[in-house]
Amino acid sequence: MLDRQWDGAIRDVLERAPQTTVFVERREDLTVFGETADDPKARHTLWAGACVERPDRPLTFHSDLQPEQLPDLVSGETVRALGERPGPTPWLDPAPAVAAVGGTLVEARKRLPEAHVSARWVEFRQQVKIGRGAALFEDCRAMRRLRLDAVAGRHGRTAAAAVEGPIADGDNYISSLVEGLSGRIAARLDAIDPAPGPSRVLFAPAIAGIWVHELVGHAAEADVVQRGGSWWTTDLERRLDERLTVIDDPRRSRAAWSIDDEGVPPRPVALIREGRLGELLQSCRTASESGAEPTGHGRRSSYREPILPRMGCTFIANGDEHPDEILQNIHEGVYVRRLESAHTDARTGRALFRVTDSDRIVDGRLDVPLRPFLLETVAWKALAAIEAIGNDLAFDRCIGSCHRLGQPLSTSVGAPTICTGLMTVRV
Amino acid sequence: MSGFSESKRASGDPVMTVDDLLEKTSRDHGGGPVEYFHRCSRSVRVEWDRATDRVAARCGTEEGGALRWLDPRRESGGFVAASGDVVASLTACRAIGRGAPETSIGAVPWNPSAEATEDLDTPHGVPRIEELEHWLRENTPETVESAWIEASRSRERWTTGSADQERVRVRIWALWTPKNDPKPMFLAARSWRDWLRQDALATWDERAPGPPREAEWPADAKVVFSPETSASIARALVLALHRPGVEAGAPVGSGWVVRSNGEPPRGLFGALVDDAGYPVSPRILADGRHVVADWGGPGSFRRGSFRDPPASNPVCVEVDPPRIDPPRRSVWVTALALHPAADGWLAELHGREFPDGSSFRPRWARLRPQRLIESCLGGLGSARTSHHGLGTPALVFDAWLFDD
Repeated sequence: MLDRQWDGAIRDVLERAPQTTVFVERREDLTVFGETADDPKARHTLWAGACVERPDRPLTFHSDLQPEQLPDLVSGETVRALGERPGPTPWLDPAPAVAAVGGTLVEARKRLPEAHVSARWVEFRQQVKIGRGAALFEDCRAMRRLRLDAVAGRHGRTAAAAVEGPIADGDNYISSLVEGLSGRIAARLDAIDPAPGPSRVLFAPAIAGIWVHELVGHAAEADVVQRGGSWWTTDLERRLDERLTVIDDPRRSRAAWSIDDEGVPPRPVALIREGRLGELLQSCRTASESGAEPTGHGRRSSYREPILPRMGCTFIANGDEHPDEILQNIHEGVYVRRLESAHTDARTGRALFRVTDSDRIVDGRLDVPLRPFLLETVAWKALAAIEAIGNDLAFDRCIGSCHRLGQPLSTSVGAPTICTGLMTVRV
Repeated sequence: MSGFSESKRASGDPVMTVDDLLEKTSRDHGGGPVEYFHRCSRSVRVEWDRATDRVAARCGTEEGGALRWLDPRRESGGFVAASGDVVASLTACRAIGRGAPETSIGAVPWNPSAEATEDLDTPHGVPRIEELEHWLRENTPETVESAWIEASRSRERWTTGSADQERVRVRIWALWTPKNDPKPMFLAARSWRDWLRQDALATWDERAPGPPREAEWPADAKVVFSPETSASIARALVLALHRPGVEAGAPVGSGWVVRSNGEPPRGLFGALVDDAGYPVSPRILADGRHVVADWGGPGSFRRGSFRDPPASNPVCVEVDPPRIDPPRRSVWVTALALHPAADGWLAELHGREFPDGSSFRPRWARLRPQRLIESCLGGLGSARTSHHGLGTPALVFDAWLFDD
């Protein structure tokens, strides 16, 4: 844990220079990777550091700073060296992760003897202390997830499939993930190319969350809007289907925060409320410049980086239609099970997604799987073309980090089953 | 005996040197070999938002080290990393690593016969914040919305206890984000002096799309990729067709002449040794007739950060095609996006009539790596080094590079 000595050191700085912000961080990351043909490999890293921000002065940072060195960082002096200190007690234990990855691969070998399977466990724990104004804040964030990938071949054809999910203690996650993987890899061996051109798209539960993260969330980051770099400002008067509500709530994230990196408790923000553009995601700086209130979305990916407004968990609120009925009403289209962002232009709202797992829809039922393809979409056109919103809201079935201005952050997304038209398939 | 001079004394305790810590770490893991890599980087960055004229700066020190060990039979091992100065990070690595389960080492690079080296760039100093801001304001084109420039000096040290290696580098980076295009442009150089010599505006101008015209891309025109887009496509081709383990002998076009040349002073990332202690030596990857070699193996192991274990990475590649006359009927590619597809890439290309005509409609095309290198005819102009460390001039491809 970050030493209690930090509290006194931060308070001392704030008393002398109340305009100063102090951010102190300790973080551990654990990655365990294994493949069918090999035993797991582990990578365990620990990093710590602090930064200081003062008006009209550069942000100044130093790795592995100790409380007694904080005055040097604040004054801009060379940080003095300290004597030897004992090694830290690690928070994360690699042994259970190595066992889980090994166990997953054993089970995968049984179910998929012909496939090449890999498993990746990713876990982190971060503790932060923030001194701002006269107050001291503290938070602890943590996350762990497991992803399985498989590649298999049959009659000269190869197919790839992936499944993943956040892990909570007590989950029987290994069996369910391996089962999901084996089902998809077998199906995907018969995949065909989709028909290029405009298409109706049905997103599986949780998946449209990625779509609104890219198209709505990034456009609603207040610094982007203030710079004039968001379609949000140019299309402010437009109305969407009033069934559509998009929310960002960092407290629901797989790596939730109870205060942001400026000491502000996060609150849910309705980015689109019943079809109307709603609030923006604010940091303290963007809020003060626009006369708004901070929303608790100010984050930095490490002590070396400045604060940016960031998404935590972006999701589409539940509708009231049954997902089976939505599918039955589609004559022709694609059912998207997994996708990843390939390109987003927040200024125009144009985005490209790489669809890595999907099925063709014919006459209201799922037909053959489709090979990977690109899906091109423009925010307003696609959002305005939403035809149905299901009642099966789900989260984090397709996980990725959000990278913004070189700052990675673990984020969550969620959505019910969603049907929209006006997307373009490119192959 | 490690040449690291760091040692620390806690009150009343004996001095703890790096050698002591390495020896203790080895004992922790049964007496096998250990390796320690440390990087200390001091950096300054200035960001400028043209719309608001806001300038923000940041500066600081980041340092940390990574410890790798093998069991005496070299069948298993471990990797841990921690921030801190040499002794603090090594102490922390030891603490984390003591409880770590021994895991498979697979084919990890490990050089048992590394030699001591010193690879120190001539110090030209790191520019001050004021100099960086001045450069941004004086040199950033009007069509740039926001920009940053960063200067850093890094010191990297590597030891196995018996051999020590040291490298010092100054590097400058910048990023220009256009007003009407989400794709930024990176600039990089290995010293402030080199930085001031480069013609960044020329690279920027090569991106200019030209007056818009609703015309289709001419099917029979040769294709000239700008040096910036050439670097993107050449890097993708090198990763695909010269990847470690690839078989030599595949045919290539006369313009596909490629070598991996990591020796200093060449290249943004050139060095005497790689980040696993292996000496770097030049290697021909393609000779304009065939694929000759891959870029992997000893000499290619690099670490993106001290937190990463060494892994093969083609960071010092030069594409040096025979220079040819500018083709009469051709398209100059101003922007390129490559999206992975089953057998290559689905590419979005933006181009204009070469040398300075009006632009065509964006073209979507399937690109297959083998077909691309076979259709590479040659190069135009002088080579430029990308921020990935790949040097190339503008590459010229025959019209049949496209599959559609």
